[in-house]
Amino acid sequence: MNKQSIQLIQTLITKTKDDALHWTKYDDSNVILKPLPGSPLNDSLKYTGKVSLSLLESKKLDRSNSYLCEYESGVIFLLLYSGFASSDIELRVQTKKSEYSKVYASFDIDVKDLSLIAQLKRLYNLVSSRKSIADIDEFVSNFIESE
Amino acid sequence: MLSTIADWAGILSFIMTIILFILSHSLFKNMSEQRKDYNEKRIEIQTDLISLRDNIWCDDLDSIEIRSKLRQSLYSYRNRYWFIAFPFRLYHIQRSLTYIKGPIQNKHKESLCNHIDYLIGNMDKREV
Repeated sequence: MNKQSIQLIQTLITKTKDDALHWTKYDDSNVILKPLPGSPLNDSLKYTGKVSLSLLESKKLDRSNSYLCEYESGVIFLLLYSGFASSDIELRVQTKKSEYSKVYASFDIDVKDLSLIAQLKRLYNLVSSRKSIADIDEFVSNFIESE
Repeated sequence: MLSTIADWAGILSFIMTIILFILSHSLFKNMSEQRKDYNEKRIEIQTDLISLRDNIWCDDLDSIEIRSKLRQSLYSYRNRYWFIAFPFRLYHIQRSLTYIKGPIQNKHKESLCNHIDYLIGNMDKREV
């Protein structure tokens, strides 16, 4: 699972840098985040994801600083949960047909995997910086076209 | 006369001993708390530095947000653990901070990454 998560994050970083993915703020989209699988005791759900501790603690989802991108039939979320002293980032994926979403990387679950957490933070920094540049590019394009 | 001076010197040195004992006890306690806090936060700080280094080095990001996050991380590290930090760590932190006061010049990128690499590598070790 960790190997696949790292590969996913690496691919997201590469595609984001190549502008192959378009990220938007969760606040600005109409996409609904599907819930996580209900019971971890159900064998058929064992490998579909784990309940993130962020949902159980008092950390709140910060929608204005969370991002998503739609790719083919799926949606990839970069969710920021803000607590009193710290913030957590979660990488979650869902498809149009799936009933649930699945966590691929999270600070709570992967707390000991240094490389995974570092790459997740790297991806988040890249996406949040990218967004501000894309806004400026869009503004300039609209300005040029308006003349 | 001489014996009076000797008596007073003895009393003063006894009082100084008590004060130094109390001070060293509180310093030791402060050191233990910093060490404990450091071991708990070590991974978080280390991953922050790794991610920001990769953003600057591999992703070519040099925005005010990235520099601000890096400064925040370094200042936080320096202020929280100054007492247990070996002087070399403080030196690398200071040198890193000088490079990110403004936009990072290309000729300084490698030096900046060298300093951050040192801090990252240093954090592999738990404080005992």
